[in-house]
Formats: sequence, C-alpha cells, structure tokens
Amino acid sequence: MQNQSLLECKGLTKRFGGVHAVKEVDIKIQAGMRMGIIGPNGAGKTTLFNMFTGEIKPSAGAIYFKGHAIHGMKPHFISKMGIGRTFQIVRVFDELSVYENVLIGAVAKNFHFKPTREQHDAVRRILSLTKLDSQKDVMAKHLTVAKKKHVGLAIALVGNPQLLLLDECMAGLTFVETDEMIEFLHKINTDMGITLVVVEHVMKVVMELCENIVVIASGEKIAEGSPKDIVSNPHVVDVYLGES
Amino acid sequence: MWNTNRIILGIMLFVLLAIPLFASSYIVYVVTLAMLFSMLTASYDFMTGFTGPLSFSHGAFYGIGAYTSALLTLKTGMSFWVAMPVSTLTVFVFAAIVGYPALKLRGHYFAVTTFFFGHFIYLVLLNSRDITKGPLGLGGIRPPESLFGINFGNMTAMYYLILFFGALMVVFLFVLVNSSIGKLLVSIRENEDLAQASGVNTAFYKVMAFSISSGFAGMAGSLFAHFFRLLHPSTFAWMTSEMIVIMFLVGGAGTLIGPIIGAGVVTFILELMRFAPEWRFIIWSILLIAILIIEPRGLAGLYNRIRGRRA
Amino acid sequence: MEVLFLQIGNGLIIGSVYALVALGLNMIWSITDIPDFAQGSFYVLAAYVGLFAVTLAGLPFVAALLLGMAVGALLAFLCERLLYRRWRERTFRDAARVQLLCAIALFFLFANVANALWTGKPRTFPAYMEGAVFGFSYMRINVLIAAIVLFVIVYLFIMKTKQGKAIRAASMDPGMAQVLGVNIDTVNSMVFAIGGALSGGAAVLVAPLYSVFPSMGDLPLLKALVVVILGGFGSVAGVLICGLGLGVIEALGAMYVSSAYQHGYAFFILILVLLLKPKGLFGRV
Repeated sequence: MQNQSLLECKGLTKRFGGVHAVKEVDIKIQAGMRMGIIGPNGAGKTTLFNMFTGEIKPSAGAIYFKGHAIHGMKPHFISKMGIGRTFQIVRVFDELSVYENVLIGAVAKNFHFKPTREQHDAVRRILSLTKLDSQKDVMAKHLTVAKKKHVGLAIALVGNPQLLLLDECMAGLTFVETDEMIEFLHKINTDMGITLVVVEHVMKVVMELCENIVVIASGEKIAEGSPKDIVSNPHVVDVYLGES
Repeated sequence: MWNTNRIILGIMLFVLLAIPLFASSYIVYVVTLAMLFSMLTASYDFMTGFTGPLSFSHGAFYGIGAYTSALLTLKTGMSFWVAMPVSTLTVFVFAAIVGYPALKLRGHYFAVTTFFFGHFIYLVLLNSRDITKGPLGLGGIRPPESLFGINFGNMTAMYYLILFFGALMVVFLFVLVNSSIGKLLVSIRENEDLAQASGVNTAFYKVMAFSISSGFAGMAGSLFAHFFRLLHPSTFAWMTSEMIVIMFLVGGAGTLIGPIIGAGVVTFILELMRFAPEWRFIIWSILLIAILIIEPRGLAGLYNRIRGRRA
Repeated sequence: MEVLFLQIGNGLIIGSVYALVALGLNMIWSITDIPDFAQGSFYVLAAYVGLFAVTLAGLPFVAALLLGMAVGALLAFLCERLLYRRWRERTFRDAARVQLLCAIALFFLFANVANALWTGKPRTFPAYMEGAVFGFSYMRINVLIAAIVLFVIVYLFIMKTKQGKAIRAASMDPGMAQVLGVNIDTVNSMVFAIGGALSGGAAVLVAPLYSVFPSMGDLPLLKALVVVILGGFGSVAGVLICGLGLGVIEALGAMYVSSAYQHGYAFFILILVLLLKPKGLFGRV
C-alpha cells in the first residue's frame, strides 16, 4: 500500500496550544505527480508544508516517504532522503557566488572531503538547466528575485531529489516570469521525473501546473481532485468566495 | 585568493623564521606573544568568521587549556609533550559539551551565553584557590622537557616551538576551510535554514567548528603556560576574549589570514603603548567602535573595498 | 532558622538589584534587539557619581540617587542616539552583530575609563542611615523597597500612559507600530533612558552596602542578562520574579552548597534550562 505512493500522510495533526492548525489530514502523492495544495490564507498550508520538511513536528499522525516514516526527523535528514524544497521568501547563500551556492547543495547531500569531479559536473549541468551559467560567478545577493528563485531551485535540484516541495514559489514574480517558472517546473517534472508538490494560494498557477489538487481550509482537507473537479466543487468555491 | 594567501603566508613564515637571528630578545618575546594571539584569532575566525555564531568565550578556553596543561605537569609530573595534546583534547571535549546546548540558541542569545560562560570560568579559576592558587597566580610551571637535545628553557627555542605549532594549526585550518567542510560551515553562516534544508547537519557542524576552534585556543593556552610559566586568572578574564574579538575584527572576519595579521598588528601597537597601560584599552575600545562605524569588515574589508570588490 | 530567614532576605535584596538592571535590559532587548552590555558600565559610572555627590558635594543620599539615575539615563540616551541608532535599520547583514559588538565595546570602554580615572581601588560609600530591623539594616531594606517602587512606577508608565502604550506596541512588532504612527525614535530614546536610569538607580542603592570599584557592574550585568534570557521577556512582573528568584537561589546556594561558586549558579541554571527547554522558560528565545 504505502509503497505505491511516494509521499503519504495519515491523520496528520498539529496543535498550537489548543488550536488545530492542521487537523487529521490524509494525502497520498504518487511518484511523478504534480500535486497542488491550495487554500485561503491561514488555512494551515504552511504548517502542513513545514511538517513535510521536518521544520515542525506533528502533534499526531504520520508521514511516510517511500514507505519510511519521516515524521519527527530533522530537516537535514529529510532533505538527504530525497525531498528538496524552496522557501516562500527566497533564500540563497547571499555572499557566495551562484556556482558556490549550487556546489553547497551538492556537497551537503553527498559529502566528500573535496568536491568530486562528478559534483562539479552536476553543478554545471544544473546551472545550464536553470539558465544561470552566464551568471555563475555573480554573488547571489546581487541577483533579481526571479534569478534568486532559480538559484534556490538549483540548490535543491543538484541533490537529485525525487520530490520537490515548492512553497509559494511564484510570489514576487512578474507575469512573464511566472509563465517561465511554470514551464520550467513542467520540464523538470517530465524530463527528470521529479514529483512536485506546490503550495500556493494563487489558484491560477496551480490550475495550469498541477494534475491533482488538495484543498485545505481551517486546517482540514475539504476536497481533492483534478483542477476541473476543484473549480466546479461548490464547497471550494464557497471557501474562496467566503474568504474574499 | 588562495594563491595570494599562500604567498603572504610564505613570506610571513620566512620573516618569522628569520626574526630571532637578528632581533633583540625583547622583540623575540613580543613576537612570541603576537604568535600566540594569532593562534587565538585564527582559531576564533574558524568559528565566528566562517561558521557565524559570535562567541565571547575564546579567552576562557585559552585559560582552560593553560591551567589544565600547567596543573597536569605540576600535580602529576606529566611531561609537557603529553600534557599539551591532553589539554588540547580536554578543551575540545569540554567545548563540545558546552556548545551542544548553547549552540541551539541563535544570534544574540548564544553570544550572551558565551560571555557568561567566559566569566564563569574566570570565577572558577579565581575561586578554586586549592587548585589554581586563585589570585596569587600559579607559578613554578616548567618549560617543555628537552627534545632532540633542544633546551626549551631558552626563549628562542620556545619561540620556534610556538611558531611550529602555530604554523601547523594554520595549515590545518586552511586545509579545512578549503575543503567541503569549509563550504558547509560557510553555508551555515550565510543562511542556516537554507543550509539545513539543503541537507547540512547544521547542529553537528556548529558544534564541530566550536570544538575545533576552542581546542586550538586550549593548545595556545598550553603553549602560553609553559612559555610564560606563571598563570593568573585575570589573563583569561573577559577582557582577553574582547581583545581577541578586536584583533579578529581589525583583520577581517572569514579570511583566516586577516585575523592572523590583525593579531600581530594589535599586539605590537599594544606593546608600543606600554607607557600608558590604563589608557591603551580605552584607545582600543574607541578604535573598535570606529571600525564598526567605518568598516565592520576590518582590514580585509578595506583592502577589498580599495580593490573594488568584496571577499 | 534565623540564618535561613536572613539569607532569603539578603537574596531578595541582591535579587532586586538584578531585577532592576534586568528590567531596563529587557525593555531595550525586546524593542531594539540589542543586549545592551553598556548598562553594566552606566551602573558603575552612576555609582561613582553618587559617591562623589555624597562625599565631595555633600548632597543627601536621595539627591545622589536621583543624580545617579539621571547620569545613567543620559549616558544610555546618548549611546543610543549617537551609536546604536546608526545601525537600526539593519541595512546590511552584520548590523545586528555590529550593535552587539558596539554594546560590548562600550562596556569595555567605560570599565577602563573608570579604572583609569579612579583606579581599581574599592572606595567606601558612606552610610546614610543607621539602625536595623529583624537583622536587616534600614539601608538594605531600602534597596528592596526602592526596587519595588521603581517597578511599580515603570509598570504604571508602561500600562497607563500614551508613551507606555507606544513602548508596548513597539515591543510586540516594531514595524507594525511604526505603520500605526508610533515614533520609533522616541520609543528607543525612552527605553534606553529608562534602562540607564534603572541601572544607575540600582547602583547607587547598593553602593552603601558594598563598595564602589570599576568592575562592580560585571556581575549585576551578567545576572541581569540571565534573568532576561530565562524568562520575563516583555513582562514586568516576570522580570521581578526571575530577578528576586535568582537572588534567593544564589543566597541559599552560598549557604548550603558553596559560597566560592555563588556567582556560578546563574550559569548552571541557564545551561540547565537551555538543556531542558531550549527555547527558554517562556519560549521567547
């Protein structure tokens, strides 16, 4: 059962004080899928996301990755198992070159006392994939937001993740940049077979990118299905209209 | 950068090797102190400059190393050649025990805790009169036993011994910071959350950097104990940690070579100001504030600013 | 039994000194994110000013106390205005670290200034009051009373006045407070001045019990920092309880365990709490 899905959570719950931020959420994500998790602000998306990455320990419930229980594990361990992530507010290693940024991603996953030739090759490959090769010697903090997001993706991708968790990865991007990003994510999903989990509150992005969508409201899963099902689901429409 | 560093270090080593051949014994004495401080600032840079957390306990680890080594040789009759590695290792382990809980704290909380720890160690050294003789000072420490026919009661021999271990430490630290370990440490400094999310065991690397850095401070302490042969708790009070931070900032964080030069420059100016002992720390603290206002990155920052680029 | 009573009393008295210094540090730290080590030196300078006001100018103790508080407030105000404020916007990455280093540099500076001007020799602060009750001299009891009075004043100021409301808003969210029209410059000046006044007041209050010397501020400062880290972040009552509690623990530890390490207990408590509750007693770390 568990082996069929890449990432699975069962009865996942997080309480802060007496408040349920996330309540008994079950999600199954098959390998190769592009999954979207949406919901209004404060619905518990970020809490859910942070439990997947290990930043927050669940109060109850379990998370399995490739059949292994990963709830309660430290973030660096989860990362090493093959779950990459990006941050909502873009994070890079500010005062290092783009090349060094990505090299750290490689070294962190697979430690050799000196970075190996293969690791350098992998960094160059990822840099050309993310169209950063012309800026590889630029200090990361001097890049535009869109380019920084690509660096963030490159750091995650160089470690060969099977699953990539993207936290509001379109925030702060222009329309053109958003379209480019969607195209890029499609590409890594089809070409590299990386499973994507996108947490968003902008519906449009998820509709264009994802094949399967989970809707969270007030910490609970209220719907799951294809983009078509979701937009026609009256309950979901209620939640979104009710919010605005 | 790596090559420029090699050239500068080569020249420094050459000059240091040559100094006792022509300089007066006073100069040799001052350079010995400068080398000890360089060891302290270079090892401090490994932690604070490369890995990030600001610590104010380096002087305390220096003191623990000094007293451990001195007491081992005095009370158990252990040879210096055993006591030095033992005290280095003791400080290394001790730093790991303190660092493990303390490094869970981020930012100012860690800095303040280390400051407190430094003061606590000073109080222990001062109050454990039965063991350390407290404010009377611990005297009668023997110089290292003769080795290969070299008598280390001689100041020049001691100078070369400290130079040898100092050079060894600098080479070791350079190899580390230029390896993958150095890259992971820098990633923690640059963005701890991203480092962790990328798979870096940040807690482990921080404790490791703290222990290695403190261990070398302990080694410098052991060398100091058997060079100076008289220990007093005030040598390891918070002002010493503060001077290490000043030297480190004068040189420039995260460059390894900057703090080494910074320690040399500051030690010499301190010696030149011997005529007004009360006022020199006042001048240094004003200088520190001036550095913070003008160029928080120190000499290395100025150098890079003049050359129009950043390290 | 009587000894125990005396020790608890002494603990409360020294604890009220920690609490006074900690209250200012706490307000400054929670609003500006600076552990203001320099408060330790305002403590020292205020004690000397109080000493000279009594011995040289012949002023009454209350005047010396007020003068000490004024000096502390003025120095803290100036340090914020001329130095810390420069980095407040934190426009570069190391700005927070620069502020901390600046605080420690000021502590280093003033400690050495006091040493250079007045030598390291401890000086006696003349007694201003005779007599005792239950084995406690009036001067000791006054420390505790004055501390409680100062706490009440600060509490009322924070809770009841308009400026106090601005301080509370800024301590919760400085950015938001600014949006809502709180003048952050004024708030910063106020909390630094209050902090300086409390440190200065604490110093003059205890000066007659011990003596006046350049490093007299080290321990109260460190204990106050521990009080701030352990609990009471953003809570006036929390600071008072933690401060008094630490004083009592030290006094009892000195009596029942060992007096040589009296000043180490705070450190042990700190490490113990960090091991058990890495986020501090009240989870704000």
